[in-house]
Amino acid sequence: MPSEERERLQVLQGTLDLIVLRTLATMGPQHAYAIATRLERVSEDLLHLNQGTLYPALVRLEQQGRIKGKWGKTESHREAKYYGITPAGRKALEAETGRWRRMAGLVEKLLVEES
Amino acid sequence: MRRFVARQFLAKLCAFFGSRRAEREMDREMAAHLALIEEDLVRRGASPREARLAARRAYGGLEQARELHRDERSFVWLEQALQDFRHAVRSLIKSPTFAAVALLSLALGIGVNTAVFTLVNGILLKTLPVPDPQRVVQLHGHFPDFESNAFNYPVFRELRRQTAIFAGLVGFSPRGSAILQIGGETRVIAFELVTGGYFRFFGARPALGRLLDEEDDRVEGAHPVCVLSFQAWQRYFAGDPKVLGRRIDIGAVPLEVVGVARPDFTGAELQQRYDVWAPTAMLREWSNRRENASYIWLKILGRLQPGVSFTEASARLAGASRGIEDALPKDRANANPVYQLRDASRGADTWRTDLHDPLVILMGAVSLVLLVACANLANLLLARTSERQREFAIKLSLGISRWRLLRQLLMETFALALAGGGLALLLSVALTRGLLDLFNTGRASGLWVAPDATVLLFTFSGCVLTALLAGLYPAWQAARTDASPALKGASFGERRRGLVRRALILVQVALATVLLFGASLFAHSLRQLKTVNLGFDIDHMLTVEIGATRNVKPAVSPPALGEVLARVRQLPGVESAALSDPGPLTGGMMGGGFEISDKSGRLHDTHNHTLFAGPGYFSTLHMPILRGRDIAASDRHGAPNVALVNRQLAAELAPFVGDPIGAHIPEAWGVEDVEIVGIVGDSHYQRIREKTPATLYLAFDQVPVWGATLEVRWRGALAPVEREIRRIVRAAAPGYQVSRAASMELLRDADIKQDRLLAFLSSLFGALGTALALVGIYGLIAYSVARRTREIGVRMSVGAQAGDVLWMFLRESLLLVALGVALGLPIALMLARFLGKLLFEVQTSDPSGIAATLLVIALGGLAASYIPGRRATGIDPVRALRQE
Repeated sequence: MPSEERERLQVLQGTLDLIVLRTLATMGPQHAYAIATRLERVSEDLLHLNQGTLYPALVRLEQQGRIKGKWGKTESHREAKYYGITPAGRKALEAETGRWRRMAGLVEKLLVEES
Repeated sequence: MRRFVARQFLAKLCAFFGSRRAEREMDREMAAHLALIEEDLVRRGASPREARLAARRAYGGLEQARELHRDERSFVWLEQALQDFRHAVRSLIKSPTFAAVALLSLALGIGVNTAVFTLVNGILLKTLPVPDPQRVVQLHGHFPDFESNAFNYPVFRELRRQTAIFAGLVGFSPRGSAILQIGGETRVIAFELVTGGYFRFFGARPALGRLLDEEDDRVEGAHPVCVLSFQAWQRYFAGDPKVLGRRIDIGAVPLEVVGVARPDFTGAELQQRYDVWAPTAMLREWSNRRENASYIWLKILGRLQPGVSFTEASARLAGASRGIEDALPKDRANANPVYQLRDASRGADTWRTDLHDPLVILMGAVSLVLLVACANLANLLLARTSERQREFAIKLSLGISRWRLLRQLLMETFALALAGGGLALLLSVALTRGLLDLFNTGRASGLWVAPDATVLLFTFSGCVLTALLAGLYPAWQAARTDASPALKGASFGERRRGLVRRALILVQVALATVLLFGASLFAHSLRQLKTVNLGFDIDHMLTVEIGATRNVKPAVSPPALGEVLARVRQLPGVESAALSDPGPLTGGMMGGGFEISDKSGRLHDTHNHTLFAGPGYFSTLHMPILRGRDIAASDRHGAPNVALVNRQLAAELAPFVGDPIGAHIPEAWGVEDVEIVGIVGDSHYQRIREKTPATLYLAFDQVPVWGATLEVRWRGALAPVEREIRRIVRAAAPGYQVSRAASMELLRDADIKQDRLLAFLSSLFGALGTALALVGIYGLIAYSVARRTREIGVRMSVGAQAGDVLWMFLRESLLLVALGVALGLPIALMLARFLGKLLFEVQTSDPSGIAATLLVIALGGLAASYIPGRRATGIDPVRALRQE
């Protein structure tokens, strides 16, 4: 069913938003490629994503005012759009992190009880 | 959280409208991203080609990424709306009968609304196409006895000195129809004299050559130039640019064409079209000297100085009235007015005051028609909802959300409304054209309106409103479908829908009652106007206006006119003929009164109208001579001057002179010592609705005239008589021409055009509303018959007769009609009170109108239910019972 697929995607998207926010909060303004590279490195290549799929999250977060994009230059003088977290983004990150922890804890607890 | 949602919504909206920019931004970012990956890979030792391919792989499908980006960026529901629209169109195509009936009632409902709104927009709403139209005002003169919006030229000159009030001031004077001669051919055109600043006042630019300016209007008689309208240039000169510098004759006065106005130029009157404009300095070539202070002819528009408010300007102008007066010649007609300002943001008022009330009423009527059409559509949709229960149930159980289903169904209604609106536009264009024709018969310049962007917007809003009004409840009903019983064939909400459908029929009948009763009042009023005794007999009467083509001096009894009359009397189709000035029902008569002395020698003023009547005039018009004698052929120049008075004037003179016959008038219209020799019956001479005017009839052959009107009582066919008369005027009266020939019936109809418009349109809308309501009844009963087939079968198998079955359905429809009328009639009677002002000798509670309304609705209701009811009686009980 297509609706199920979409739901799974949405869970993933929610997580992706959180990860992007977290990355930007710790590393400062980054371009999409840098974010993607960092994700791959941190997850030790377990999380492999098509880098293009990062954009919906960026667009969404920017439209929500949680991050802000600005054109700039890389060290090698190439142009790239740098995304930085906004104060609203930091607040959202805090709230989402808490929510995620509670959710993960709950799921963990359930899984433990099941087995 | 909510804040983020709102913010995101705005961002998406921006992205939707600025999608081109967002798209470029996205591509730029993607390219930058790919470049960065490549760079990285090359640095790690890959070849550029490998790097490019690897970058693509890492990035993923480009088009897919774009699609994801777009989805996130903008609205999914907009996409869905388009999908729903396509779905709706397919679904409608699948049920063509439903679509056709719905479309037709929508096209009619929205169409009549658009047509009437085209008039409302063009006449009541549109403003002058100038910056700040609110600052444009029209001058009015408030005289002791009357109001006037026309002035003499010296007043215009004086007003123009009031620069503290007016930033600009222009005068214009429509000259009615004129004869345009181009190379021997003659055409009747609409012609206007304007002051020099006219075109600049409206910010007009030429399409060709130049427009008139102040210099063209300075010295009287010195500027024989004119400007053509774009339409006239196209029509009479085939758009030939060599028209510049050409000489054309207008009313036998040669003028040089100096320019052509742009097609969108309208001037002071938005609903009026003119073909040629010439400077007021040329006035004397056609009639009076411009400086003549007794000649009232010029209408005036002004633009207020910036910073001067309307109230302030009015006060200043009223204060200046005295000073303006002092600067003008003393001995003139219409002295001592108080000058006033009227709002002219919508242009000079030619039609607005006359048509305001009728248009408001008609707009109300068409709104009711639209409501009936909406009710009809809602009814059709409800029936369709019942039929589609299974389809909805399947959709719902397959996982479509109720909200989406609601949207889909609303979209179906909207698609219908949109298509109906398209048809409606076509219909309204035809209807508007018909209405204007109705108005403009026999005129060179008439009412002119055309649909514009406002009208389109109105129609579109009408479509949306209709879709919501008619579609919301049925769609909501459908979205509430309970999936499992509906799948098994049970119908959910059927009872409630049935009730709603009956209520809708009730409303339709009530609205139709209101419309029909209103229409009956206007129709009755028109009948009264057409049968009212005017004091003369208009049947088989032709009037022919004969005017001088050259600038001739008025003459007493011009031989040419006498010759024309003599020859016309010889024509085989002519019973009798006479000359007068002016003619009856032309809307004009000479005003002013005379002085008469009583027996003690004291002078008394009279207020009456005057008309010059030739021998045979009264007998031709079938006006009774009550006492004394008629005007005779011997009452000529040189013979003692004579006159007749009508009964009204005789009654007004009686207190001073006793029996008016034999009394002498010292002077009237330049004729001295006139003896009153007879009394004729009263007549409504200028307009049907006027109070009986006191009238003095001077002998035509004893007063100087410019032209005359020929009154002809004909028999047989009119066309050959008219043709012959035109030929006679050409042959026997050089220097004269026929400026208008019209039957008196036509003149009468022109006089009551407002009433004809109301009667015609209200009848049309009444018929339309009723027809739609009847279609509603038909649909309801037909549906009821179809649903109750089994029940009817049972009834018939246990002995019900055909008549019983028929009565079952007739009863239902009669009950609905009776309730509808009971609801509608009080409303109709209440609303009718607002129509009183427009009715002529008809009560607003006209019993014959009530009777006619009831009869039409009752018979219509019976017929509409008889047809499907009749079908029910043909049901075969055995087959009906086997069904299901």
